[in-house]
Amino acid sequence: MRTYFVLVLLLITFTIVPGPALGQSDFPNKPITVIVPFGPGGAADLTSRLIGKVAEKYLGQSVVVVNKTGGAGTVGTAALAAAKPDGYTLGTLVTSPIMTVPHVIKVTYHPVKDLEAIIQHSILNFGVSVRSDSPFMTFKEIIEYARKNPGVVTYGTSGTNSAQHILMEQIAREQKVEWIQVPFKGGPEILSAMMGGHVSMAATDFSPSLYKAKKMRTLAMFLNERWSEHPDIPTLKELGYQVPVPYFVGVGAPKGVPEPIMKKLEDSFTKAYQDPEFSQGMKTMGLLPAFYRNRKDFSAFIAKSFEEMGRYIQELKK
Amino acid sequence: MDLFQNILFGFQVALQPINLLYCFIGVFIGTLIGVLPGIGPVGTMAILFPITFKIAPVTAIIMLAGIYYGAMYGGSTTSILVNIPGEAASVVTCLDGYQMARQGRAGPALGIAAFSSFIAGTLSLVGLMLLTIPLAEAALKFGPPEYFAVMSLGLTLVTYLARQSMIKALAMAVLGLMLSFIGLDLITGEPRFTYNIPELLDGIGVVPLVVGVFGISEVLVNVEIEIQRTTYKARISNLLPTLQDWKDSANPILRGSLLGFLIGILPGAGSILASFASYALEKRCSRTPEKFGSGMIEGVAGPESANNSAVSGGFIPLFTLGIPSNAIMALLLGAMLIHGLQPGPMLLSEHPALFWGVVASMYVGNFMLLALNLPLIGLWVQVLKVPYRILFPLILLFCLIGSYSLNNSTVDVLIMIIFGIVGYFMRKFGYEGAPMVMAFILGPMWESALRQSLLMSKGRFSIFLNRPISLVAFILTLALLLSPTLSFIREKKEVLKVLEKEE
Repeated sequence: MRTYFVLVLLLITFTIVPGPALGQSDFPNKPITVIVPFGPGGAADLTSRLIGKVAEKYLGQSVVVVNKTGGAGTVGTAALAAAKPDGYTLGTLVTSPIMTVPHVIKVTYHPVKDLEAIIQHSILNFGVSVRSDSPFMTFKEIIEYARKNPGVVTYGTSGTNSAQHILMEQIAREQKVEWIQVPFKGGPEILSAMMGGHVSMAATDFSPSLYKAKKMRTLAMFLNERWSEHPDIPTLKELGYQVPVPYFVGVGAPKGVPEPIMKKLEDSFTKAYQDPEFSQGMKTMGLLPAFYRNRKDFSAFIAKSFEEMGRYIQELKK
Repeated sequence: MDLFQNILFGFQVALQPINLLYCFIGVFIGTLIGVLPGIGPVGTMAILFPITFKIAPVTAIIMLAGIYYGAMYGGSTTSILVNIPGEAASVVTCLDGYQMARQGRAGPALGIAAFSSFIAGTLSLVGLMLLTIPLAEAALKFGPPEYFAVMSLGLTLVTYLARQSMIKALAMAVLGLMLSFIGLDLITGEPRFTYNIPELLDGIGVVPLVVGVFGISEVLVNVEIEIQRTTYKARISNLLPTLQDWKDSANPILRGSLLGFLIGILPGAGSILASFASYALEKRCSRTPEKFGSGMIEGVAGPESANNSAVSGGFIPLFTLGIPSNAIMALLLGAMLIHGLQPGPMLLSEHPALFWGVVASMYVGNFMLLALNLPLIGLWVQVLKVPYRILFPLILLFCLIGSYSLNNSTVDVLIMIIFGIVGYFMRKFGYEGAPMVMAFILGPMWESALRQSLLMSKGRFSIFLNRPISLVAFILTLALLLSPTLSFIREKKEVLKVLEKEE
């Protein structure tokens, strides 16, 4: 008799306790998963892990990073778009699977319609670099040289239709010069080829260690404003090249997450961004410049840049 | 003197109790995942990655590195015992290792695999200590034209992987090349043969392919012939290599260590290629190449040395330039960055504790691995006594977990199963998997290097002849291709002479 009583009591407790959990007021009540569409150890992965770790303080739950790689980042992004929109599955939004690849390859998601931005927390650190013994001291000198010697200057990128390739060709169009893209499999290979003198310049991730050791010279960064860590490197924009900067790393969710939950997520990740632990962590890694856009601005930026990149890619094909 | 002090300093770091503990954890986990087919170092290190946030950077790198080279030790175990590579880098170990086991020499095969891993690990660490900086500079001389030349040389080596029919082996190599075309075309950015499956954009993964063709198919084949296995079960003789085994293995170990180390330095190549190239080299150097594939200890000693020393070689571009040569090195780079350590030209002067500590820990780790693996041989040999009806479902399970854990992708699991079925029919009809895997690995690098070179030279093929390294590699390639023809002609001439005399 007593056992039954205990059982009934237990049953009642268990049915009552999860009650409010069904509502949104106590979100989150279980760990949150963040899908990173690239492998562990890279810039997108490390910054996502950092902001996730700091956001745990404000969410009151643990944030678990899951790497879902493949398809130039589209596999993980597709998984995010298809996830249940309950706020418990979030993902890292990065440039290529959102801005460029969907214009070239059929993907299962629409980068603007099927995904919802939460916040942007950093910008990718792309720039144009040459080997330290290269004759080119400024970006302008390369342009001048390329104008006089069409088709001689070569530059390495991480693939045709990568944002770097599109931007470099956009500059070439504007400046009426001709240079040759040599696509590689990724940043490390481009840097090796540039350091070995096999390509004239590298349009790829900035390498703090090679730069500090004066093994390479970065002539310009694809940024809107100078990076506080390296204030001596000019941006393409200030050099007078009117190319957009479609680079970002941020947090996003599948479309359809209830508004109160989105609000809570935006607040928590914004607080995490402002937390000194985040800025200190970014400084320690020295990988990417931190950069903030709130939900509204980030969404608008993605929509605008997506359309812009689509236009550039179409122009390039002509 | 300076070097000596640095080495001493390194051991001071490596022998701290906490580092010793994590080194042991690393090599222990490494051995384990090496033994388990399908589960490899990339997936495991990714799972353990968050731990590195919480421990000191040197300790973290020591542990992660331990997993990597530990896996190379363990990978040969299942290759030898059940003909299923525990690691992609142990595929060629199956060829002769498994045959040795069938002749009751599983013990010596496992023993020489452990010893050659140990010797190669130690030798390559000496290389790492003495030659890191000059070798890093030399590796940069390898641009796309040099890669194309060396990969061409590698492709001619595929012929040495043929055990039975040369035509069938070449057909499989072509199939491997064709499979490597799947994915995004690097140069035009267009998808090839992907049929709108996003997972195929990066191409078919090496691990699902290898696990399918070698693991699943072996299980399928053995389902049919369970009874025959009892024939060699009873004949397990001694557990350690004999003096003759040592004599046969000494040179292959030295050659394998050197070759593996050099291949390891080149970005993108890694342990798998090193082991294949070493096998081909041993067959080429051997006086009895026809016996390869029937249980030659050289075919185990060479590749097992090469895949281990390739691990050490891979650290060179990471430590000196901050350039990771493969996915595992990228992970290690990340682990260093979280702690504010920038691997690169200044690492040795700014953070000597990291470089020398990790290198010294690899010495220590190699000793641990030897001590761990030699006593285990007796245990592993017992595995052969486990009935297949228990062993094989377990192997299947690990293959499934392993191929999934790589990218958290069910498509990888499907690819593995499909290649398992393909591999089954390949076995039935006498087509070998090794030439296919080697061509599959070389294919993408070969193709992109060719097209990158031609972009650099505006379409002129002279770029391959104007550069000394690529010229030498092409001359070697030609020599390798022509030498069988020459010896064929010579034999015929001798036959003619004999015939003339008789007349």
